[in-house]
Amino acid sequence: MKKTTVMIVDDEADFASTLAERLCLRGYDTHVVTAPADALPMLAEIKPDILLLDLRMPGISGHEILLDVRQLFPEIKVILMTGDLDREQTVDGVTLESFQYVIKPVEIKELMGKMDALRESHD
Amino acid sequence: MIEPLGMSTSGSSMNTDMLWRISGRLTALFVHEINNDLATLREKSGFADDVLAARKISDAEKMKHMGEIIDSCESRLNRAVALVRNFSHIGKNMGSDAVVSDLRGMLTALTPFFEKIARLQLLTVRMAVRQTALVAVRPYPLLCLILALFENHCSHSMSGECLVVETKEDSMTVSLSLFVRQKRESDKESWPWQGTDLSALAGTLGISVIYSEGGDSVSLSFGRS
Repeated sequence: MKKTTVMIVDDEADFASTLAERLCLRGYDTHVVTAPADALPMLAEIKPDILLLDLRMPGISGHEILLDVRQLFPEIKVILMTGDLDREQTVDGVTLESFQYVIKPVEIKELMGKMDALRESHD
Repeated sequence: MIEPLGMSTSGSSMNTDMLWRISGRLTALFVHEINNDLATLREKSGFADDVLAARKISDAEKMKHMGEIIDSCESRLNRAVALVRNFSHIGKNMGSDAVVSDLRGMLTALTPFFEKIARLQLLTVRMAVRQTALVAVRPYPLLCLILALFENHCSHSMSGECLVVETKEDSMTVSLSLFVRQKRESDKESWPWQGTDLSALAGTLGISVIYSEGGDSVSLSFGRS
């Protein structure tokens, strides 16, 4: 069975790499991008099943990346990661609350549950 | 040392609103930074559990992983402790009247926030702060004023630039300047100051804000009363 591919885009390298190792131990194929500017080229190259996207990053914000992902890679499932979700903020006319999201610090069981649900909806 | 300067007791509601806004911003920055450390610590702790429970990892590898995890946790904890201490220093001064304060200490407390604000806009910061720069003003409004000036400056700088925070003093004055390390001659004429005008807030502290003609630097001057 093909492993689910997950890309983590987060400028907090220590956080992202540790989360990636934990997901790897749980059978996911993980990739980490810590420079937001690299996110879109890497998405195009790897085409992950799931994108874990931090919202607050230097240079290009997670919101901008999310907007591009919706337009360029609509098949990629996105889970937002944030310390504080602004529920009224919208991306492409859709409130952030409408997306799957986890609040940092991330509870791994909650994240796994959301990823499994996305994977099942994809299958 | 600079003599104490008076604080207007009839500060306008505009200044109060601005102080609240900047204060909220400072708190949000602090919470965000601490939350980043907590998020990483939770991942490290969970990873330690995962490693210990993993059957495919040898004992030697587990020991190596655990050593790395502990080192990394210690580093994040030290960072969080420094943030809390700095923020506590800021908080303690919130209600203070004008007191003689070490400008360097204030700027040290703000440095992690400067770095974060700058990093979000792909800028870097260089602190060139003298150890002996003493000023006498209400510390908390001054901290807020400095933070607001810094944010203004960042929002009008270009990616890759280095912002310098510099203090200077002579027998009469202490000054604090924010400027871009390498001036952009081409932009100088077309870059008027566009940030929030903080002159009124500074005025209540008895401080003058001096914007350079090209908008590429801003200084606070603490003169003798």
